[in-house]
Amino acid sequence: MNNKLGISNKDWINLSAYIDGALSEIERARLDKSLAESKDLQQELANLQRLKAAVRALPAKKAPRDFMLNPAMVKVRKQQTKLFASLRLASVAATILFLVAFAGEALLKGQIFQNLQTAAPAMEAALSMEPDQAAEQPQIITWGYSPEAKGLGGGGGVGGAPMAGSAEPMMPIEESPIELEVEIPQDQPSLMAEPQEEELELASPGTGEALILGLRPETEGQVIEAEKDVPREQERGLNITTLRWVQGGLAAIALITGLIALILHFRRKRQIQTK
Amino acid sequence: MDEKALIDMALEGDMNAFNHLVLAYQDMAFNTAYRIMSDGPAAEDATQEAFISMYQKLHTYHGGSFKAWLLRIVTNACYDELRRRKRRPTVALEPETDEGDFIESPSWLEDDAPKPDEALNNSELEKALQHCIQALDEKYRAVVVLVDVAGEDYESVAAIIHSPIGTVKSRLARARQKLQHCLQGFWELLPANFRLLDVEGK
Repeated sequence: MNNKLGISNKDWINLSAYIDGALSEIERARLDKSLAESKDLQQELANLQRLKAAVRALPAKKAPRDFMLNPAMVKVRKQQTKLFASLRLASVAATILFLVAFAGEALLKGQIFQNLQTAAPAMEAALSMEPDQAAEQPQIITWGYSPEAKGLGGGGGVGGAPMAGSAEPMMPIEESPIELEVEIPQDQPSLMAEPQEEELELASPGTGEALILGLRPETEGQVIEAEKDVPREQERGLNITTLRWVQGGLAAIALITGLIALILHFRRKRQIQTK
Repeated sequence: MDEKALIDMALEGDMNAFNHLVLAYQDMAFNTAYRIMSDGPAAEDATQEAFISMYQKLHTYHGGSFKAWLLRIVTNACYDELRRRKRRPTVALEPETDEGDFIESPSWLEDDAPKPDEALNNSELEKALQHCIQALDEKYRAVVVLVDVAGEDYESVAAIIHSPIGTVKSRLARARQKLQHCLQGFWELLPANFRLLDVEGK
C-alpha cells in the first residue's frame, strides 16, 4: 500500500514507529539515511509528528462520578459468577465424561470386532480347504455351541450349511432312512482311524447328541459340553447397556447444566443492559 | 499508601483499599473509555463494568504495570459495551420541524456562552479528532488511543490487546494514516500549528 506521496507501506510503518521511538538501532539508522535523502519522507514524518501531538493534546476527560464499589454490588455479582462458573464447569466435565464413555463404547465394540477379525482367517482357511485336504483332516464337530463358527473351524451346527470337507449333513438317527456304517479301509491310512482309535458316535442332534469325531476313548460315555460363551456375551451386552445409561445420564447433565449456565449468562447480560 | 499495599489489602477483601485504587485510576480509565467509545454514558457504563471486573479478577494480577493490566480490562469492557450497543442501537434525539424535516442546528442546542478563539479552536480540533478516531475500526481505534492518549508503549499495548508487537506497529501506522486522511476534511478548522502539510508542503 502506498500513500499519495509514494511512500511504501513499510516506510510508513517505520515512520510511525520512529516517532514513538520504537525502532531498533539498525532500523532507525536505515530510516535516518532514507530521511536524509527523501523530502517526501521528511514531509510525512512532520505530518505524523503533528498528528501525534494533536491526539496527545486532546483534553483528558475527568470521570463524571466516582466509580467506587460497595460490598452489595460485588456480592450479587460474585454469587452469580460462582454459580455460573460451577454450572459451566459441570457442563464441561459432563461433556468430557460423555466423550470418554462414548470412546469406551467404541473401544468395546472395536474389541469385539477385533475378535471376529482374529477368527476370520481360521474360518477362511476352513472354507478354502480343498475336499482332498479336508479328507485328510478329521472334522471336529461340537455340540451345544452357538451357530456362529467363532473361528473354531466348525460350521456343523444345527441348520448350518456343511463346510467343505465336512461330513454330510446328518439327520437324527430315527429319521435317517439308512443306517450309517463307517468302514475304515485297512490299506488307506486315515486320521479318523489312527492313531488314537477315535470313536464314532451316533446320536440325535436335537438332544445334544450327535456323531462326534475326534473323541478319545477315555471320554467315551461321558457327556462333553462345549465351552459356552453365552454368559460372556451377556456380560458384554450388559456392559454396553450400562455404558448407554451412563452416556445418557452424562449427556443430560451436560445439557441441563449448560442450559442453566446459558440462561444465567443471558440474564446477567440483560441486567447489565437494563442498568 | 503505595499501590502494591493497596492491591494486597484489596485481595484480602478490604473494599476501602480497593476503592482507593478506583479513585486513583478512574479518570484515566474513563478518559480511555471515552476516547474509544466517543460517548459519555457508554464510557461511564464501560468504566463501571471495568472496575467490577477488576475487583473480580484482582487475583489474576501477578505484578507488572497495574495501569496496563487495568487498561486491558477497560479496553475489553469497551469492546463489550460497543458490541452491546451495536446489538441495541440507541435512537438519536433528532429535532424535527412540524413537517418532519430534521433541523441541523436548532437554536436550543446552541451554547450561548462566549468562547475565546483558542478555546474554540481547541474545541473544534477535539471534535474533529474525536470524529476521526470514532470513524476508525475498533482494532485501530484501541491502538491509537492506548498509545497516543493513554501513553502506553508498544509492549504494553501488545499485552493489552493480546497481539504481537508487529501487529501493534502496523495497526498504529494504519490508524494514523486513516486519521490523516480523515483530518484533511477538517483542514481549515485546525489551528495553524496542527495543520497537516499537503503534498507541496504548504
